[in-house]
Amino acid sequence: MALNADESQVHGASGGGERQAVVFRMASESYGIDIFRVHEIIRMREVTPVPRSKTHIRGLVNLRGNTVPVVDLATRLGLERADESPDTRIIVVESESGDIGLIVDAVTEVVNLGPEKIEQTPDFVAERDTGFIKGIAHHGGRLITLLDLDRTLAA
Amino acid sequence: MGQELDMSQYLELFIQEADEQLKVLEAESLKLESDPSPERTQTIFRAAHTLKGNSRAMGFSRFAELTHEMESLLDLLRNGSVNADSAVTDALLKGVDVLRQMIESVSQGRSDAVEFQDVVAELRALCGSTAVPAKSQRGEPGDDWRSQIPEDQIDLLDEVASKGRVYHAQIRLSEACAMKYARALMAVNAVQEHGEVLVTVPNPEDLEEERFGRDFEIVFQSRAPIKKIKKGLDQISEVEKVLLDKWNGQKVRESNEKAKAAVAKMEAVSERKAEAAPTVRVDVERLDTLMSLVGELVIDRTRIERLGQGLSRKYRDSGAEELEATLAHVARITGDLQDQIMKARMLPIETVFDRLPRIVRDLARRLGKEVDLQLQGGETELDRSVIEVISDPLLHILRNSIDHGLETTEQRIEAGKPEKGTVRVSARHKDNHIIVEVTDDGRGIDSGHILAKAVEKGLVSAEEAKTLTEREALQFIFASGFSTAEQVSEISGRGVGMDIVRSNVQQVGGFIDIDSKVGEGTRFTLGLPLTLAIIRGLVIKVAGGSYVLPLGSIIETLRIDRNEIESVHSMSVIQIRGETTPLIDLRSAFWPGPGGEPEGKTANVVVVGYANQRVGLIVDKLVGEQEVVIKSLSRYCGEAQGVSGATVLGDGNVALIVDVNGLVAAA
Repeated sequence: MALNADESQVHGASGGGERQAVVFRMASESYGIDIFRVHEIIRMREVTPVPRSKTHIRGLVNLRGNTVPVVDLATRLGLERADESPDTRIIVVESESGDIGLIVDAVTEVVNLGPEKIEQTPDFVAERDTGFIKGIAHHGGRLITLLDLDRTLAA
Repeated sequence: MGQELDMSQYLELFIQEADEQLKVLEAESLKLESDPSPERTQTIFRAAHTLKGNSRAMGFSRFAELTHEMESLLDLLRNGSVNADSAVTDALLKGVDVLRQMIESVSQGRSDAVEFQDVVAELRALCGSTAVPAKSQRGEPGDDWRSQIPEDQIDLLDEVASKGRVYHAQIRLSEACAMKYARALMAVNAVQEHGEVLVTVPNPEDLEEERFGRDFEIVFQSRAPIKKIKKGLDQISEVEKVLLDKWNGQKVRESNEKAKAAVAKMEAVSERKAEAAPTVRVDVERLDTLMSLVGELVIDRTRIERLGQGLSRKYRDSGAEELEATLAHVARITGDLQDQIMKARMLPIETVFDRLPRIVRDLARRLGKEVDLQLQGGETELDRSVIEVISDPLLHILRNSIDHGLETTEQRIEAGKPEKGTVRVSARHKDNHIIVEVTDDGRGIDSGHILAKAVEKGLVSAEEAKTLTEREALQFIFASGFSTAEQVSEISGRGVGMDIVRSNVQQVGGFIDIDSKVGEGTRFTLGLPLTLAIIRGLVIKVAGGSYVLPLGSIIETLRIDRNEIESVHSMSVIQIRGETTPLIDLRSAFWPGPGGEPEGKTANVVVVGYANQRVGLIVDKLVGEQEVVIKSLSRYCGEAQGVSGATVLGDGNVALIVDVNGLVAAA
């Protein structure tokens, strides 16, 4: 865990280096998060709701005997919540409060993103920006919205 | 970056060790007043010295300076020029406090910059008030210079001494002495001028081979005056010191005894070291990880068992049987494994007891009482998780005993009791619990007084009060809002207290009891399960989700007719055997908002104890009893009122642990 954090710092420090992102689909759009924050990707499983918790917290799942809270990312980002499908996945990421799972419609790929592919959030997006977006990346003729995980997971 | 990493590793080590040394420093300083033995002073001195060295190595100059001042005072204490009075103890304890603050600051990544000049001034004042001691005023050889004459020869020499004049010379050569044998020979010759050598230590052969340190002894017979012989010995060069006296067998024997004792002590110390060798330090986190890994194993085992059962129904052959047998074995091994890891997590309750003398001393001084604190059973082991929850209730009870339980010194004298009050804290194991008792020899609690107050507060009717036994009456101490102290003091009282203590203890499956005799004292008994990592609980279903109620808080389960539910002040209640019991519907408590109409005419109710009350919880379904491994709720979920943790059930699903206190507080 600590090793990952260090590496991401190294990558960040080197500036011009390639970055890898895990790309997933939400409401037919592509989103990406820094691969160094991703611990693992698991299939959807039984979620136990926690009483009186925030609406975007779906509940707890069993991850090899540990209980991990999972976030309904669609609700969090203000998107329409899709029905659960065989493609639905939970991306387990590292956060200040330990591991947290993100429910996504599907995980599509892992891509290399050079700095030239990333641009600042365009104005038309920024206007309705919820503060969760870090930037936009062009990849293979598609746009990938890069999420700012810390903000997304902040209380 | 690598270097920084290294430094931080050392820092962790430094903090850990400083923590240990500070504990020693504090504990021993507290005992200093009553027993200022040289060994104790030495122990404290060593702790301060180690701290100084370590902090210097880490570059914490303020820390080093303060420990240096403490060391100076301890040095004066050690050589007897300062007496161990309460001022000295106070100053040392203050020093410990400031050092702790520094450690705290350092562990948070800051410097050791904590205001410490006041303590330094205090320490210096204590050092300065005494004359600077002259360096070793005793010209006598120190403790390390002891006679080595063998036991059997002492008797012989005694006999010779009874008939004539026998002298005993102990000679120490200078450190730089190059020709030890030559000097020894000169000494022997000098003696022989006046008489006859009886014994040398070491023997002549060893003397010749120089098989000795700087000291040797000659016992001889002579008629010459002692001064003349002494002069002859003193003239030999490279002799640092000569002790010449008439033979005294008794003295030599005593000296031998002392030497032996010292050797035995050294051996004991090294033995203890040898004993301690086969242990290793393990990070607590690692133990927790092990514990949760075993938890996983237990869950998987249960799942495999289920799969196995399904398979053996399908295929009735010998393979299925073998699978069952293997699974039974795996079950036993995982059980043992769990036990062993539980044991590895055990700590002696000493870790809590160690804090008590300091707290009691401070409290007693503030209240102007004299308290003799006795601790028993410090070696009793319990799980780390219980150590964390036991301290608060224990401290609360202890404060209560000293504040309310013990009389003032004048009152005690008047009552014909010893001036010093005694508070005894003892720990022991009983069944699956650890029992901690706090006994004081104070004024005791008047049950009549308690009852009157209970009636006054409407906790019990006057008629009912008459039927209660003394013991039952005392239980009102734990009722909420009940405080009998005539004067609310700063230390305890204030109405919040025993009721909270009791419900916190019950929450984790423990109990608390009280016994008291007026004029003789009070005894509080605190019982807690040996571990909180695993609890037995009742699995229930509410709105499709699984929950666990700790078995310790459950009084009974029953099925009620929904028509019997009444409403008082918009709160649901029900009569259970004539007793009005408030009801909480877990469905609406957990999931507020418009719920569907309750299903069915009857409902399952689990009656739980909360403080002195009973509360009925309406649940959808009772599933059964199970042992569960408790996981703390992720911080990310926030403060979920009514839920104290989570666990993974045998079917692999997550269940939430119900926190009865939180639930009632929120209702």
